[in-house]
Amino acid sequence: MPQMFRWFCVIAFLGLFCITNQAAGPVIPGVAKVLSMEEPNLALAGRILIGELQCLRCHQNPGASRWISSKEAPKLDHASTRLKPEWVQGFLENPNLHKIGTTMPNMLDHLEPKERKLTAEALTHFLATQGPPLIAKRFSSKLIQTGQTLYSQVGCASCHGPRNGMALEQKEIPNQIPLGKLEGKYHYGSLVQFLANPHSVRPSGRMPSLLQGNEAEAVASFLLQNDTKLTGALLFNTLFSAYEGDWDKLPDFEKIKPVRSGKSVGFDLTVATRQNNVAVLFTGFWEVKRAGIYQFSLTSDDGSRLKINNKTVINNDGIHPSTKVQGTLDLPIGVHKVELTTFQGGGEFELSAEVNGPGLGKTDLGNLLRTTLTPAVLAPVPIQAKAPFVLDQNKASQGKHHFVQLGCVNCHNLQSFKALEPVLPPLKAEGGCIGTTPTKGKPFYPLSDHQRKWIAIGLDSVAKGTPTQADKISHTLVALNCIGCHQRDTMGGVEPERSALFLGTQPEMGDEARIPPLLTGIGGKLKTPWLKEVMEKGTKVRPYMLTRMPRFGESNIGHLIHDLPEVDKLASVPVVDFSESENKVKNVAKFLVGGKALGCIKCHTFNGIKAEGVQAIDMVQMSNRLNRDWFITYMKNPSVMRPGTRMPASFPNGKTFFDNLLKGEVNQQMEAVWFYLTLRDKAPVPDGLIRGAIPLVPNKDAIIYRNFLEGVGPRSIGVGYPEKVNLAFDANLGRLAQIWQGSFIDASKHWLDRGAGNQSPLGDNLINLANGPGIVILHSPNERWPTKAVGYKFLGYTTTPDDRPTFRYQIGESIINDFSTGKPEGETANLIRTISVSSPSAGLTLKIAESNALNGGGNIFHLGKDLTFKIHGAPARIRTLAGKKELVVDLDKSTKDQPLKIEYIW
Amino acid sequence: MVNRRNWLQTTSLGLFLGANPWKSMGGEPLTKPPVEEDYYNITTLDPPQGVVLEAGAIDFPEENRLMVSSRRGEIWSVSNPYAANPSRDCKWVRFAHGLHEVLGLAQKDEWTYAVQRGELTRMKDTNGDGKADIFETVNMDWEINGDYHEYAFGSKFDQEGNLWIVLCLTGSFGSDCKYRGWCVRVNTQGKMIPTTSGIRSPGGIGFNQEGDVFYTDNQGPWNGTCSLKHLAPGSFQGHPDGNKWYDLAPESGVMGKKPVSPKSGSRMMVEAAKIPELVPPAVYFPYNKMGQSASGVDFDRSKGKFGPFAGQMFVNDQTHSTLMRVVLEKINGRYQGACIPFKKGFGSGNVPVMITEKGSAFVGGTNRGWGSRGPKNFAFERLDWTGKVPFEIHEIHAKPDGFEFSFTQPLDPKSASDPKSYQASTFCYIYQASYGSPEVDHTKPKIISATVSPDMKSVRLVFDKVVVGNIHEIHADGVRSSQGFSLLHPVAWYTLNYLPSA
Repeated sequence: MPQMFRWFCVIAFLGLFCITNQAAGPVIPGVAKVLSMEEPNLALAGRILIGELQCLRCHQNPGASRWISSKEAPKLDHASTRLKPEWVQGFLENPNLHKIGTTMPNMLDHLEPKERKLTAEALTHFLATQGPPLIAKRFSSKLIQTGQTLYSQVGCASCHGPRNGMALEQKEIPNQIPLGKLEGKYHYGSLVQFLANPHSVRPSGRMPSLLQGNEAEAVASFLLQNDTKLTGALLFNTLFSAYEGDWDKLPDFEKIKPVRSGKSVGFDLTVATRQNNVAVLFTGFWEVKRAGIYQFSLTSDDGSRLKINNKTVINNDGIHPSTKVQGTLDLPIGVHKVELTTFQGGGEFELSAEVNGPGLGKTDLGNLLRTTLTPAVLAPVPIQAKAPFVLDQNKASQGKHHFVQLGCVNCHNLQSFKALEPVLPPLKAEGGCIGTTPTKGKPFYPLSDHQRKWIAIGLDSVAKGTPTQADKISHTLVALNCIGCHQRDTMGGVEPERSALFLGTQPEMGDEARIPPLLTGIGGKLKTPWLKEVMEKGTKVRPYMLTRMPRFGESNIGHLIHDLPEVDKLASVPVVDFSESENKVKNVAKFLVGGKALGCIKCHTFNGIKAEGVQAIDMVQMSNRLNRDWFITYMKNPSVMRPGTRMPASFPNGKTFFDNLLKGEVNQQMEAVWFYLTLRDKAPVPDGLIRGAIPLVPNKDAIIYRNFLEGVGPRSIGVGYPEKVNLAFDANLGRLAQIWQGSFIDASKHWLDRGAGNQSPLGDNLINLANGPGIVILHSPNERWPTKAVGYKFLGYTTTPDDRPTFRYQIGESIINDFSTGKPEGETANLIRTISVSSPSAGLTLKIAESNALNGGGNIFHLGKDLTFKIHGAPARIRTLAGKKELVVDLDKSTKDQPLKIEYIW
Repeated sequence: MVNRRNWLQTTSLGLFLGANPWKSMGGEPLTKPPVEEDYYNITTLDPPQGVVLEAGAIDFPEENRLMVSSRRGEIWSVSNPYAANPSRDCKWVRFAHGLHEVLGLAQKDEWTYAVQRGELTRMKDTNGDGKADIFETVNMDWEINGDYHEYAFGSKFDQEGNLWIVLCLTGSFGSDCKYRGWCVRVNTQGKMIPTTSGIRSPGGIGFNQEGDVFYTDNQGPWNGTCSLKHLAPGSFQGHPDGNKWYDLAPESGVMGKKPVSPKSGSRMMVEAAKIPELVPPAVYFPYNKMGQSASGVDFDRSKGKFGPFAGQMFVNDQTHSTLMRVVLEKINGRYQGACIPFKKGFGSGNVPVMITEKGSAFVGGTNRGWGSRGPKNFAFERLDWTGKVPFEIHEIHAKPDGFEFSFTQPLDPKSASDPKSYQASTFCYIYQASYGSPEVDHTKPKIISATVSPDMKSVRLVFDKVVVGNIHEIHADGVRSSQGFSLLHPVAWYTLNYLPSA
């Protein structure tokens, strides 16, 4: 079937499937991927459904567990600390309404609405007893942007879809796993904990672990950014006063009156209730338990000041962007008064204070305070809500009864309860809890007719035989949705609609830089220890790929590490005997991978040394990861094993271009490359990789260098004079941008690889002269120097027989000839520039330099101590506009028939 | 129709009819199967010691003197480039230096024109020392922003005196400044005329025999594989990122309204049916099979001195270090045709190519930043015809129900009329915003009949089904010449965008 038509069918089919989901059924993305195959494996789809819906927790189907690994429902220990009770109750009343696509059956659907509500309420109170209450914490608005970047780059969006203003056309992606209203379910602290370690609550790895360090805080802040109302309880430990006014430094807080005062949590700026023209004073008491020197750092935007015991420790005052200032203080044991003040003009508003010292790691100072001098027990204060949740022990004990009666314990792990053995008769694909209507006393799974049919086919397949290793692999890859990102044989992979969610840092590498690798034959490709490494730790060798390999938990993927290598085993490639000694083989390989042979170094980094073009997987990592059989088979024709790869065939049609090496035998040459790679970082550096500088040295003639020069522009023209003085002319703006002495330019940046980036001068005493167009027509004395070159045209240059250019350009009607040359002066040289202008227009003005270090007058000016200008032939002056000094020459007042001459002396 | 001269006309110069081409020079019958080297020889022209000549463009100011520019900004003048012993007899003089990555060279009215990254420049040696001393900026109306991928490839002058320039996208992925992803012409007044949109990452630009302009674009977004595209003025070449500059394109009457954006994930011919400005690639070069980085473009202007392919187009591939042959015809007013392997084994990564009237192809190579099969970091080479005619597919023409192949040698009627001597498959590429494409929509047509023409020089293949919009990969491994030889290159890929009515 033409692929396009196939996609059309899949989308149409999924469309139906999704509609059913919206109305009811569970979303299991792996199943949808299986169904989108050209020949869908319906038995597999059915088995996955049975496993994900956890049918076998209650039903005894002989032999089924050999085929099907059942998902485990979330653990409910500490449910009280994780979940908002209001959400729990709503979810129990109608799971699919609160989390579209959930695999949780509707347990209460058969009850009358009133009874349903009461039962859900009782269960909620019961769960609220399963751990301490939640302490409300506010997400960090500073982290939202980081969280969004992580969410969109590392892989969250690949499964859950784009979110909240991510720049993507589509908001819905195929097989999207809905997140529901997270702010209704979690509060910040519990979502952070969940994201940091999802397996502790959901042990079966359907939600893999992806984030590191404090990334969970960032992603949770991003996900909960709409959670403006805190619920739960707060631990107030500081006092605040908020002031309003327009300041450019911290006000004298004793002289102004607060608009509001009260209790606060640490240095939480939300008490300011506004983002501009506001100041806040926080006070608290800090009990220091070990005497010693404490280091403080205070970050704020705009100004802030930290006082301890009325003494200023850090002053970070004034209007500024986020700025960090540090200070130290020797503190004795005891209780110390802490005062932190900040003010905000406009723009970003930020404040944080950290402390590090005896017995402390780096800690948020705001967390260490209390509101009173003497210790008092801090009690969580319930946040005022319309109907705050108050635990009712009676309801809780009813809930406990329901919890057992309804069979929640069969699927949900809760320490104080023991899961029951399956007691129900074998599962059938119709009626009961998967019937079309709820049955009294049974959970209700709102399945579609399709889904029931797949379950039937799945059950049939289970009854008929025993699973092969390949069957088990498929089951895991689908259940964990590995095939959401990876393709294995004809199954899975990234659909065109989701493709844009996979990002890389090297667009020129194409999809190989951003789409996770094929799993076809992966067990034959990777060495088993590396397979284990990647699967268990998510270790990464593709620095350019932003999507991460998540961790699914050893118990969930362990069998893959055993089964994949056996199933994917490649025919072994016979070992080749070398016709030369190992040392010679090493040298041959060093040549082969180098720049004058196969050119592996053009695209692969070697031990961190950059390649010339794209930066593909490092060569020294290859033998650590790859099986030899795979590597040699791959070398013969890469695109067979990785369709669409940009890796070229090094030995096309099994022929070598190097008849003189290792008897011209392809097998020996490939084996040599493999042998070389097994030396890893002990392998000698490939030929042509270490590249030296290419200094351009003007001897007799000047040297011209047109390229991208740092601080000049994309149309730069560098000129190196034999007198050892150099200049850079910006042809975009007609300006002499830079001058320097000594060596001219190192061309290696532009001449040794693709030529990316701007080159800085090689020599000394670099002077940046002026920005903007070099010569303009000013219409009034106080006109600001234009930023665009109006009426400017670059005409090119002529050269002297020794290659010194005269730049020619036009401003309006005036033609400028701009010639420079070196004038030796002791060890170095100065620059003499001659400018002649044909028919200068009125107001035609040259800007020579701009700097507030300019001074001088008459025809001698100075750029601080760096440089002196001697100017003849036209009046020069320093003009000051908006506090900035410019050295300009009035070209329209130049001496008749005399060119303007400027000496740059330094 | 182009290139539609018949086999006799092409060979009427009698270059090979006089001698039996299947005899070796000594007159002995050949025992080994023929190889490319029997017909075409590569001669290396090394620049002076220490010169790194990463060739960007080639041109001939005089019949016996060429100019070659380099990525390092030099232009070298090489006298006596046809010398049998180039290291002894060629004279190299540096005409200019310090230019910004020159990827286009042309001559007009005693001036040498060079397309630099940021401008079109003309230059001249006025004092006779062999070095240019006037460098005049002719036009710099397109923008560059410091991204190395913003290349500018230039053509020779067309019949009206315009010089054509194709401007690569920023980073080969977006259009961050003016006219990135466009083709522009600079006219005799030095004025820039925006001419087509839709360029991605060009590798070369050149003319066909009729004077129409073609460029190569490379695999990437909106380009499933590398291809040769016809730069029809006013057209949209397929990559929509540069279309933001339509508003700037002056009312020159060339560019119309901004075309509708193509739908990602579609197929070229599906979108071409919806977007009238979209000109589909004339020839796709299937990725990996044919090459991986299409570059320089030229046509055989030698009238037979370069072998039996007079008037046909030739295209370099940088990664595979090959020169490929392209045969075109015009159907529905659009060029389409096939690519056929021609010559492999060049020294470095081929970029510019120029085929001279005297019958040599000059090929410049560099593999800096992009690896190549040819192992040298740079090479400048001349490809000469040995005078022996290879047994090759000569031309291919689409028919409503199949193809007509002509050959450079008389056919063995038995093998050539056996449908089993041929194998055909078809596929195409996804036309999409993400990088490249796998081959998709495969079909396997059956060859129902193969009819040899009465003059034994062509074969008419009838397929059970041809697929418009697909590339037809046709192998003719079983076909023998009347002398019993198999084809030197028995495969061709025909891009069937349109079906002829007859």
